[in-house]
Order: sequence, then C-alpha cells, then structure tokens
Amino acid sequence: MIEVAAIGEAFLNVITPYTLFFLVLGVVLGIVAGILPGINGAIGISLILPFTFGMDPATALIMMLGLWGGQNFGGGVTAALIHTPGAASGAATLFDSYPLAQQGHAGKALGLICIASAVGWFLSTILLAVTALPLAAFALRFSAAEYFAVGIFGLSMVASLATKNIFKGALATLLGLLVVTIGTDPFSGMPRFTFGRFELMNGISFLIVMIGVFAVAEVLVQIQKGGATEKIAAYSRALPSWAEIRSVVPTMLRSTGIGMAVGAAPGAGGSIAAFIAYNEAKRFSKKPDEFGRGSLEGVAAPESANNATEGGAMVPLLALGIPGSGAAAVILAAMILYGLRPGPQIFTQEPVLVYSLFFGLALGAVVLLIVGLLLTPWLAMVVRIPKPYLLTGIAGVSFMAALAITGLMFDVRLVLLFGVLGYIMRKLDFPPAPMILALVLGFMIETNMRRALILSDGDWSIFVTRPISATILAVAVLSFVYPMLRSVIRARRAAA
Amino acid sequence: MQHLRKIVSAATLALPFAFGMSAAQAQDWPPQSLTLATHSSPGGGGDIMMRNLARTLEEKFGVTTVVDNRVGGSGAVAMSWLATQVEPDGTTLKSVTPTQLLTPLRVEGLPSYEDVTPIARLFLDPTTLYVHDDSPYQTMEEFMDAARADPRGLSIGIGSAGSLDNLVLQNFMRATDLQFRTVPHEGGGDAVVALLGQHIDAVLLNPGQGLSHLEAGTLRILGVFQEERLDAFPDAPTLAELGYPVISNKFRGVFGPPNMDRELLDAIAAVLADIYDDEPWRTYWVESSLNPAFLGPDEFKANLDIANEEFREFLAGLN
Repeated sequence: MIEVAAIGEAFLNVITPYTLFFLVLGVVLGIVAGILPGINGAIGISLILPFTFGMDPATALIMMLGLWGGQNFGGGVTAALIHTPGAASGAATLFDSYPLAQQGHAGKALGLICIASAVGWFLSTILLAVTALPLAAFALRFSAAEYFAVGIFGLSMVASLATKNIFKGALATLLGLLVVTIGTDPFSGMPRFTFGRFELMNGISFLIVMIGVFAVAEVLVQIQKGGATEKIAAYSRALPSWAEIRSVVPTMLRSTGIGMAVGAAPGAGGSIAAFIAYNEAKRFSKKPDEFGRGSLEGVAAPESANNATEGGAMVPLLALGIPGSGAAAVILAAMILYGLRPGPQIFTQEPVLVYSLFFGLALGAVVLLIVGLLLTPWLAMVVRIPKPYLLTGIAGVSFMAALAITGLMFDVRLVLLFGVLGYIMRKLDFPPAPMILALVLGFMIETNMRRALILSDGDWSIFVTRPISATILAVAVLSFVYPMLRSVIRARRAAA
Repeated sequence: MQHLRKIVSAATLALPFAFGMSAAQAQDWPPQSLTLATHSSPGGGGDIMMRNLARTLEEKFGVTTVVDNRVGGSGAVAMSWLATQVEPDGTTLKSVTPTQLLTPLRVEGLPSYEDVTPIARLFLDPTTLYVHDDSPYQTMEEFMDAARADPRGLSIGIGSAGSLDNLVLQNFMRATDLQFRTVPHEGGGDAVVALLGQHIDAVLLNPGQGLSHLEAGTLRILGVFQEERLDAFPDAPTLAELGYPVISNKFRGVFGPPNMDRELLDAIAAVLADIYDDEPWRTYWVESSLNPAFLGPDEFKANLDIANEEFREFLAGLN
C-alpha cells in the first residue's frame, strides 16, 4: 500500500510555491469565514469552488482543506471575544475562552485556541494517513444502536455541565430536546410542531438558539449591569507561556483522539466532538473546578477536537466516498467535478493525490499556527473596545448572522426570542449549556433510537445485546453518576 | 450573505464573459447574466446539477451565471421565492425534483408547481435496489423468495421518509405482495453506510449514491425500477422484466417564475433540449447514471399533473 515514489512525488507537488500560496490563502480565507457568523466551512468552500476550476485538482482540494481547518479556528475566536461562536464547531469553546478573555487574558485565550487547533489538525492528519482504511472499516460496525449510545453518552455530560444544580440542568436539557422535536418527523416525513410555518419545517438550527441564548442574552445582561465606561482592568495580549502550553498537552492529545473518532463516524460533526472532548477534559482534570471560569484545558479541549474532526471526516470521505459533514459534502462534490471518485480504490488508483492531500493537511496545520499566532495580538484588541460600542456591535452581528444562515426574517425573530429566553434562564440561574447540548444531540438520539427499533422489529434489547452499544451506554451511565458521587464523597470527607 | 455570494461569483465569471460574448448574440436565451437557483444546500443533488448546468451554459454561450442556494423548509423557501419575487424575464431558473411536489402536499398554503412555470424535464434519476457483495441473494428473484418465506424479515434502507424512494418501495411491496421493513435514513449516503456495514439487507436508491462501491463490486445491483436497463449495469433486470411493472418517476427539471412569455419558454426549452452532448453537462449526467428524458413545457406540466395525484394518494396513505 505504501509507495515511496508516490509519497515523494506528492511531497514535491505540495511544497511548490504555487500550491503553498493557495494553501495559505485557503487558511486565511477560512479564518475570515470562521469569524464571520453564518459562513461555515461548507458555505466557505462552495464560495471558493468556482475559483478553483482550472487549478490542479490536488492544489484546489488542498486550498479547500486549508479553508476548512482555518474556519474551525475562526469560529473559536469569536467565541472567546464576543461570546458568539462564528461557526457551530466553536460552540463548546466559549465556556472557558470567554471568561478567560474577560479576565484580561484575551491573548492567552486566542493563542491557546490557535495552538490547540493546529495540534488537533496536525495529529489527526497523521492518524488519518496511518489508519484511514482500518478506521473506515471499524466505523462501519457502528449501526443505529451504537449511534444512539454515542448520543446518550454525549447527553450524560449534562451532569458535569450543570454542576450547581442538576435539577435545573435536567430541565434545561428537556427544553432543548423539546425544541429538537420541531421540524419534520424523520420517520413519516410529515411536519411536526411547526405551527403551520414552513420556516420551521427543517427544524430550528442550533446556531440560531446559540446566538440568542449566548450572544443576545449576554448583551441584555451587560446592559443591565451598566458601567458603560469601564474597560477590562488588566488587559494583556500576551500569548500563553510554555509552561501553560505544556500543561494542556495531555488534554490536546486526548481531544485529538476524540475528534478523530467522532469525525470518522458519518453523521456526527465538529460540534459534538467538541462537547465530548470538553467533558472528558473536565473529568480527567486535576482542577475541574476551574472549568467554566477560564480553564486552559477547557479552552484547548474543544478546539483540538473540532480541528481533529477534519482528519476524521476525511476517513469516510476518502475510504468510502461518503461525506460525514456539510463541508465534506462540498469537497466530495468538488472531487467529482474534477473527475475523482473517492472510495477504497482511490488509494491504489490515485496514490499521489491522496498523499498530496495528507501533506497539504499537515502543512495547513503549520500555516494555521503561524498565521493564527501572528493575528492573535490584533484580534485580542477587540476586548478593549468600549462596552457601548462592543455591545451594539455584538447585537448587530447576532441578527446579521441569523439572517445569513437562511436569509429569512423569521430566523431573526427567533434569535430575539431565544435571546429573551436566555436572559430569563440567566436570571433564574438555569445553565444554558445543557440546552445547547440537547439541541446538538437530540436529533441523532431520536433518529437512531427509532431506526434501531425498526431494525430489531421493536425489541429494546438491541441496545444492550450489541457489545459496542452496551459498552458505550455503560460508560454513559458511569459518566452521569460520577460527578454526583464525587461531590457526595467530597462532602462526606469534609464532614469527617 | 446572498449579495456577497453573488459578487464573488460574478467576479469569478468575469473572465470567460469578456472573451465569449459573441457566441451568445445569435440566441434569445440565455441572457448575459443568469441566476440558477436551487433548494439544495451546496453539495446536494440539485446544487450539483445547477453548477454543472451553469458551467455548460457559460462555456457554450459565454454568459455569466450565479448559482443561488435558497435552502430551507424542504424546498418551500425556494418555491415561495420563485412564486412571488422573481421577474418572469428568463434570467432566473430553479431546479426541481419530486420534493417540490411533495412539500406543498404536506403543508397547506405553500406555492405548488401550479403557481410557477414548469419549463422542462431534463432527466429521470433511476431507482435501483442493491445489496452487499456478501449478501446471500444473487438475483432479485432470490431476494423476493426470501422475503416471501419470511415476511418483514428483510430490511430495506431508503434516503428519507416520505421521499420518492419511499413511494417506490411502497409500490414495490404492493405489486409483489411482499413485506419489508422500511428503514429511513438521513440521506442516501447514510443508507449506503448502513448497507456497507451490513446492518440492513438492501437499499432502494439511485446508483449514484453508491457508485464507487457498485463499480468496485462491494455492492451489487439486483433490480432497476425504470423502463429500460441501465447502460452502466446491463446485467441488472428491470422490475417489469420480472413481471412487476414498478417504475420510479424521480424527475429532475427546471421551473421558472409565474407568467412567463410563451416564446421565451420555448426558447429556453429549445436550448436545454440541445445541450445534452455539451461538456461538462454530458460528463455530469453520464457519471451520475441519469437518463436524459427531455419534456417541453406542456408535456412536463401534464406529467406533473399525473405525478401530483400519485403523490397525493401516497401521502394520504402515510397518515
């Protein structure tokens, strides 16, 4: 399988100034796309697609892969600076990067996002190159029951996201699951809870809910606080120190593995990987109490994971010809336009192209590291903008983002609605994160549960008789109970 | 966003525009600037068709084109836009699939094909039944015998519930008096994954969804739900050959806004009827196993009337 000549030729192809130029351009455009709300990887790639006709296919695809990776970083930037993820994959990043930036460490937050992104991207590329075919074969063993179990495992993090009050966390989760039921019933094709509005037939995008519940609600809370002239007291553009970077290395490695695995499973994307990685980081952390208050591990985990999903998503794309996400679908369409046919045989038929993509991806991570760190001090200055201007800007960007996602005024009103809901939740001390988690996972849980039950002809034991599903469900139960047990044990110890 | 996309696309296309203007002047249509809209998101079936149509028209006539993705509401967003906001001057076309008939039948008050102008049917997308290479069933007869011996014992995956494939599967079960478990997925790609993992016994999809696997032999076509066998897979019999005339009508065509001028309509149809051998259009439909199945405005409308009644009965049966 490994052909030295092909690898050599691919390497020489990629390090030409021509290809490198378009790789850097792709990464930079990706960062911009990630920062601009409403433009995700899929839209960004389809925007540059017409420019790439006439390019060498490898160069064109490498530019697209660069854009894809860059936008994961860009999405984290806005999460840290203005409490709004610019792309869905940055959803879990805001929990810790925003508090960190508010404490005056904007440079540290962005620098860490950049480093974690680059590390996740680079390592997942190596994993991709080494394991693509066996990993694709393993991913095929996942059926509906296993995807259901993964979804339940993801939902079990509610217990650690809602540390203060598990009851309120559970209510917020149920609210999220309720919102997911709006749309079209996936097993009859008929509208469900759409109140006669065709705008609701595809359901409510979780980005709409996030922008409302996080960004708009944050604006409302800040307005009420007053203190218009106050700036962030201790403001620093300094990048994270070596010691700080070293302290999150285990987190980055673990998160890369999670992102790779989740990305390789078609149907689960960067946002799900980021949430799972965040939760695992917290569980393994020596300082879990810092999570939600600016933990460095909490910043690094989701960013490594969401960039690693890119390498993961390349597994089914290259080895099976099946896109695992929207961005992968556009890249697949581009490959077909170039006359390439992804599938198991592409590794033997087009080895130079495949290895060129691997080298392009690996170099893209290096480019992101350099470009990202150069940009970080400038981006960090956003937090110094006086509050009245910043809040006005965030409100404007929020509504513009809503309009950009679908082009419907209906969604703008939805953002406002969820903004008010988010404000009420903040005031009543209901955590918004579990609701978002339920929105991300709800559809996957529902469809796979119902599909598994069709496959088993209504027999519920399918979830526990299949070994992979049973194992994941057991881990899910443990991960739900563990944070509660831990607090009980600590309380006992403290009492004794 | 929409504007940004237009500006970017227009800038891309300025170059061929500058060099190829003379070719277009003999024609009434296409105009110098053309918008090709679709309800598909980037990378979806309608999007790929319109992007290939865009490039074909650019190269043949030297015009500039913009592909406009009006995603949402299971096609309702794009249809409402076409019915109410587009000028009938021939500068805007929209892709159409059975989705545009099915959605207004589900939700009252949405514009249907009768509120816009059907211009042309371009292709029929073949529906096929395929199994994994390790499957014990070598032929359609064996597959059906197994289903007869064990009603509801076999499962067939489809792309999504309430889709045309769902209707074809239902017609297949009625015609053969067999019972299968219908397993909807989140799109045809997911159904192919389930088949590759052998979690289901077969899928009912167009061959394009699993093309690389069908060519490599990891998946195998047992039967074809159209009038003639497929050129790419000549060994797979049609259902009619087996005695069950189940035909799928998964059309791909274009609509225009309401109140279009008759001459303009004919001019557009004439151009679309004449490009099947132009590149990259030809590569697109050959690679996707589409059947050229051109119908002009009147025949397409008549065909839609029949299809709409069939879809209405199908959806009533689902409830």
